[in-house]
Amino acid sequence: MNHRFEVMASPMTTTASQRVIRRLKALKAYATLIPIRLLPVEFLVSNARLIKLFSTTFDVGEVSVKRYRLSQKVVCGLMATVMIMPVLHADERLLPVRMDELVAAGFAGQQPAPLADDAEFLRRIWLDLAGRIPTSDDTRHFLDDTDPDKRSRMIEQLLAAPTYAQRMQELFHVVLMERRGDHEKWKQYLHNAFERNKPWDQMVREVLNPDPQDENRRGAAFFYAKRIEANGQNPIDHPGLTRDVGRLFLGADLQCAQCHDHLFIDDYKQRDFQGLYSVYLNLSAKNGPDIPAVTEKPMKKKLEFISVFDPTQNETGPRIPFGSEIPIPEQGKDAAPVSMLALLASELPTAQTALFRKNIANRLWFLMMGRGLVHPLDLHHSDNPPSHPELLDLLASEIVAHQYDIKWMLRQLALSQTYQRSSRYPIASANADSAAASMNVEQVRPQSYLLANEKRMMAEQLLHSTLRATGNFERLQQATVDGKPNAELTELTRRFVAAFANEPREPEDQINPSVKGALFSLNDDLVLQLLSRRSGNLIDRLLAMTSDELLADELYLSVFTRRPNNEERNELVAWLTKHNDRREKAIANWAWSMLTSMEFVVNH
Amino acid sequence: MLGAAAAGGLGLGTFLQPCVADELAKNDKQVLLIWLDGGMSQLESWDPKPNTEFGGPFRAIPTSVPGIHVCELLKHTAKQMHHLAVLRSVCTQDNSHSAGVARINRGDPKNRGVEYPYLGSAVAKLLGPTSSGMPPYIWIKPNSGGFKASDAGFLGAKYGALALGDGKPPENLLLNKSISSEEDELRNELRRKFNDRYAVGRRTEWTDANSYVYELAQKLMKRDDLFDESSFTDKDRQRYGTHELGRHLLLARRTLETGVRFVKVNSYHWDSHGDNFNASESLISQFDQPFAALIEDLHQRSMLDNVLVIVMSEFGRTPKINSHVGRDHWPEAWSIAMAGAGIRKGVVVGKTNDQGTFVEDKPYDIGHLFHTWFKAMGVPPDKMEYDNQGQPLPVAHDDCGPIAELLV
Amino acid sequence: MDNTTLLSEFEPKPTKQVIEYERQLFQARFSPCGKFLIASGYDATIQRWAVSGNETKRLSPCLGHHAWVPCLAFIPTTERIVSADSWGQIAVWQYADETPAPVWKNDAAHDGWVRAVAVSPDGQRIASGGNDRMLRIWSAADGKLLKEWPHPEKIFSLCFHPSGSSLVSGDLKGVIRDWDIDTATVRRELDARVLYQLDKIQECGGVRHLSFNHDGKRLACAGQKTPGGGFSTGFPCVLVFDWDDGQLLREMQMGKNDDGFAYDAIFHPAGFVMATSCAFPGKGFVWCWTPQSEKPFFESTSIPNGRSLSLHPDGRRIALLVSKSANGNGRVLVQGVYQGGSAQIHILEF
Repeated sequence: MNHRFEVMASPMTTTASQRVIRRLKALKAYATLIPIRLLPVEFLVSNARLIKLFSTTFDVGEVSVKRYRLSQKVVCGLMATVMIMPVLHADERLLPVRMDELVAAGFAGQQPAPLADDAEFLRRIWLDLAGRIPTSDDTRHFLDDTDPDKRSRMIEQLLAAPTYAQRMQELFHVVLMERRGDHEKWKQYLHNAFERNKPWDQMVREVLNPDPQDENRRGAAFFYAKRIEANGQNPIDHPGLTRDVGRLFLGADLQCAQCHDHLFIDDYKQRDFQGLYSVYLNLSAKNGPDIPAVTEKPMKKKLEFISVFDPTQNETGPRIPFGSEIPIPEQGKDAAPVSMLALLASELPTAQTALFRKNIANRLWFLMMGRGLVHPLDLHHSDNPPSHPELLDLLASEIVAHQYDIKWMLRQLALSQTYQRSSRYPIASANADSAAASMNVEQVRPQSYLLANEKRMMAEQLLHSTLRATGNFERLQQATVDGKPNAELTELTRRFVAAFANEPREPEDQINPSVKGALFSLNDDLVLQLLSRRSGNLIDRLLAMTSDELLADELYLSVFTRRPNNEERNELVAWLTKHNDRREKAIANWAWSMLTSMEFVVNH
Repeated sequence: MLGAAAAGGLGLGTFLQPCVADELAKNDKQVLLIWLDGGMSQLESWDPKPNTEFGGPFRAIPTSVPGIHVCELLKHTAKQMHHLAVLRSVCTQDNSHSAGVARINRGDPKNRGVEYPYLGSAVAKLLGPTSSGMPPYIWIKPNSGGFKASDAGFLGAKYGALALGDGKPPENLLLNKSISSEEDELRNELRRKFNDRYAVGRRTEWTDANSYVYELAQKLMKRDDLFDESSFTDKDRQRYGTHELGRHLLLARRTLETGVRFVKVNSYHWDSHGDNFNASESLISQFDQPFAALIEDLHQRSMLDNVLVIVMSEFGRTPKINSHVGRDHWPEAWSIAMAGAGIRKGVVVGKTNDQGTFVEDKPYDIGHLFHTWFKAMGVPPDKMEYDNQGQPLPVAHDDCGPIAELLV
Repeated sequence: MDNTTLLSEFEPKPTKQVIEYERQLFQARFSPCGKFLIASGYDATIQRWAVSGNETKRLSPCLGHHAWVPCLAFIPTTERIVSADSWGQIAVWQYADETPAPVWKNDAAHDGWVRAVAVSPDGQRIASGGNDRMLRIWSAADGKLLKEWPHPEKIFSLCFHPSGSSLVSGDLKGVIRDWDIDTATVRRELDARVLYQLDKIQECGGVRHLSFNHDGKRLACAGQKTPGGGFSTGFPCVLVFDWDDGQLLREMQMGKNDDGFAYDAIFHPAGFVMATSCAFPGKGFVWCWTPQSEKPFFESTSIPNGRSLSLHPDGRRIALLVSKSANGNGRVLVQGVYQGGSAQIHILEF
């Protein structure tokens, strides 16, 4: 794939670039290394702020170059040796359009579903970016808005709202910790990162090399600390941590490469696991009273390992999976020990690690589209190719070019037709002979993106949405007088997580109804109480309605984020008439049936 | 309580998965899996090698089947041997718990990049609930209960196990006091109507899954008598024993009687790396007594032809006796016992060598056993495949087949 | 004597003398005459070595047992030993014979595993007990059953008081009973329950060995403190009781909780206890500890995995039997052959 690069540089060898790194570190410059696969070293790119030397075109993926993100001053001072190169793509058209084209290329003549109507779009975008459904007023307002650009505006509004950081914190907590437990400092870390829209590579660097001294970053240590905490008589789970770093940041589950080269996945070698493992073997949890922390013993020698199938003795030093081994630096006698975590953090989350950029691109795509281009998300390898390889490459290089800006990428995804497609084919009318109506919907594969895929609601999304729908949200958001979270909310959160979350260590990547969840919805006290009349809540509002038609509108807007159709409206009116003697109960039961139905419990 | 009309209104069709053919709907075969976690020693149970280097201290005793001997620690079970089949030539792949437990429970199919279901979830998927409508997969285990979705692998949580922690009922089992049963019926009818409407124009997979778990939940709510331990007779308690595994196997009998398709009973802490022979005396007798009582009861109640009973661990134990008088992990040559539906009675299949170290004739891996059990349960050959969102996946290892000598 | 003095006089030092045996053994004991070393094995045999100065010579074994022979005791005033196996057989042998044949044997002395035998100080009576929860008294001379009575628990260990007045049994649950043989009644119970634990679903531990000192004032019982299931972890432990009042004098707990069972504990005439423990390969102690002292005066892991200790009648030499059997999961073959365990008898000297 050809891209045009604007280059500003001078030739530099690998040794030279390492020297520069050291100099930059000595200057305490913000010397993040982002090696990406680029080109003959003569070429480097400038971004607009820097002097443009010359332009050229070259292939992505040929040669490696280092890039440093620096203050302009430092950069200018080192101009002779340092290169900077944001990747500007040759195709200047909007990314969402290009995404849609690449998806459409896989339709193979099949007709995709039409775009979602405003209500379906609104519910989806709120759930994805705000983690909850909108209020009935929000919905009314949006549905009645005639601005043709209202969807883009809504996307912007949600990306800018405080709910964005909250949602992303909850989401990335579940993605990264997989329900192992939570920590206040970790929560703060994630929230803060998404509030500031911290670049993904920077977040990963901070997670991979947590700094206990830095108040704003120390919470990141929880990712390691929780995974290697003592657990009864079990050995410290360093292999599990190694596996998770591979899974979550590189999309490669190396578990079966611990004891031998992976038997079924040729790309996964034992050295890839052992190289990463060699770093983590020296790590132990050292949690303070209120802070998660880890300590690292210096690495003195390489890790020896043998395959269970081949008794040849092997050894490896630290290694980014699928990359080359990182030499263990000479330890000065009195110098502070060289941190392998720091080394790992500088080498792994870079554009040069192909799986690093592909993994985040794939995960963000999954987040919005409900199915990974590579699926399962942690099995990137040549025998499990992406459903749309060019699309994945495009997203991966774009997110690098945009400094791993997650918010930017989510915006691009949300603006695409692929995202905004309906999750259902139009209901076939009696004489319908359109291609869409005659499609056998059961045959549609999720990786075709002909329909918007239905997505699981996390326990937190379901809770927030239930509270929103039943009009209990504001009441429960209010902290107690002494600043503690509302006790009922805390308990509801615990119960929702118990009922709807996966077990610890299980990724929550598909819809997962369970008998447990059903019994909870059917019988749990606290949930049913949300449907008792209470000043200002849904039932209270409905009982104050002057007509059953208005009531129906308000109920459907509140719960389903849409207006009822005539049939539904009439049914409800009839129901209320029939149960007129127990009107409150009748409304509550109708609302319960909506809240437990698929239209509510799934993000569609 | 819902009347017959309401129960009919649930519609049998919604219970059963689309993949289940009509003839399977009439299949009321059941399974009891007894899982002895950590690894029971084959040499102290099904495959004794008395007075040999690795044979240990115990004697072999005759059983109700002439010519078949088992270890003296199985003295009650020996009297039920005419109902049992023992495979002594099990040879599996993993000697670690972490990998072995999952591998054996999943039948070790070829890796296709998905988490395969454990046997209970597989049966729940392939055969669904019995005509009782009870949840198809109940797991009786020590300590905490709950819903264990992880057994289901890629099949999804709805095929997970409902775990009764030490026999106790799951949370939220009883109908909430604020809801009358009439209201309950009405609200669920509405819920189903909304779901039907939602499903139009969409793939039905998730809506079906959602309906399915609600039907199971409602069925379970009507059988809370299952959890009343006080209703067992003293004689039963005496015969099964009042220890954990005794109580749990007695509950398993009742659970099978209520029509649950697949019941798993786990016992833990069988990993006797040290002091194996005292450990085996202590542990195996806890298995022997209630197991023999259960086989006898299932037979007397004419249930044994319908219920497949399986006893296994993640592996056997090393022939070698280590310095700590223990036995370590041994997948190379061990035994699995079974009885009931579709299984031959009173047979030993396969043989280890005189030292008990390796299989002497043809070794069988767990994949063969999964084929054997699916066949014994009457899963038709054309149903031996899952459809994982378009990806066809064989339900058991492609290179294995059923073991004919174990089947009727 | 204080510990320093004891150590200067009684530090057990390895000699170069190590006897190898190709299978595992339960115990190896010097005969009262000091001319023989007799050992009982996992292989249904009783092995013999002639001892002469620093030389040992392997003799032909006593054959005729089944499975395991965990029990072995010398019959005073004779050149006989009594042995018992895990299939319920008891046999008496003329151990100095060139090819020993049983003087008598009873292959149905117990139902199953005989855990312990003991011989009365006058050499007339043999006591036996095991998994069948029966205590039986036999005539040492001809094997005639003299008396039997049920025992409340599985019997793990037995010994006679040097006066001959008491038979002492130790059981699975850590109860030590002082029996009046004539009336078959319990005079009193001593509490060694720290050597037992119901760990989850497994009954663990037990009083694995009992022995008196020469004047019968002290009783040592060996086992594992807080024994666990599975890996069978616990602290090697010897309890020393004052026999007169039945009070615990000293709890001798050693090492870490993975140092296994104390399988043997014997009194040296100088008053200290020598004990050894065995666990996974490389684990387990030899230690010497006088009950008056809070600490042992000697402890060593240089020869781990000790199963028994025997003091030569010369009072200077000790036979330390150790188990050599690696642990490990799965198939380990040496030149294509699956390996079992073996034993070594180390001769130590003060």
